Amino acid sequence: MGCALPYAIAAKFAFPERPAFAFVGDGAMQMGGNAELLTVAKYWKEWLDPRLIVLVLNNKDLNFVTWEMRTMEGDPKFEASQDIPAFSYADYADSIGLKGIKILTPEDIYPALSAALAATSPVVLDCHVDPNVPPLTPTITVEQTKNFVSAIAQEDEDAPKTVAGTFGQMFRNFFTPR
Amino acid sequence: MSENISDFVVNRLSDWGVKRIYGYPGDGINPLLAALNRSNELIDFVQVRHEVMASPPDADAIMPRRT
Repeated sequence: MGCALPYAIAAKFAFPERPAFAFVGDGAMQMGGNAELLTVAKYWKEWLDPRLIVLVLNNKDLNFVTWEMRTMEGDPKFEASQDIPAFSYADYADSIGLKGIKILTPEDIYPALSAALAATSPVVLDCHVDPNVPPLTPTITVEQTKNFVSAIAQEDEDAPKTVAGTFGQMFRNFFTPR
Repeated sequence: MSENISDFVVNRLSDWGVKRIYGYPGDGINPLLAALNRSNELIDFVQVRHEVMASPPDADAIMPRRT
């Protein structure tokens, strides 16, 4: 966990003439990524191409593990261990001399990516995403389905949103042309 | 001044093609940092924010170079 930004920084030192992208969860940013953005702030002016684009998936939930607990163990979300504090990754990026861009709606995505690719400094895309949409894999085992149902049956206040998110995701997977 | 072990290690890493070292200072590696300083930028030192974050840059070493 948390290796994407350090890898992207290493990529910039190895290939300073090329852009690098890091896709990072908000949990990873709070674990070490926010600190490591200072390393980016310290060195980026040495890079021939300044573009290091960090896309933060901001859902205030240690979401991968939340879903792991639901589908692997059949356990409901444990807010005490899973919820993480809100933080503005975009404002923080601005405060240390990088460029922060907020993505709050799907309509923001294209202009934000265009701005990031046209930027003359590293960019942090603070992308607000829904924790109640499950990261569904292409194949789901019977065991995982049983666990999911068991977790949801015991679930907290997120349960209705989680069920809605699941059906929304299945609907989109089914009807999206490939 | 005769070469000490830390100078030898820095020179050998350089001979092996190491261009950059990612790290954070601390008593266990201070002699190596001093040797890097003495080596006149034979190897670049990249100061990360936490020593744990110095490990993924192994990517720097294993990423294929374009010829």
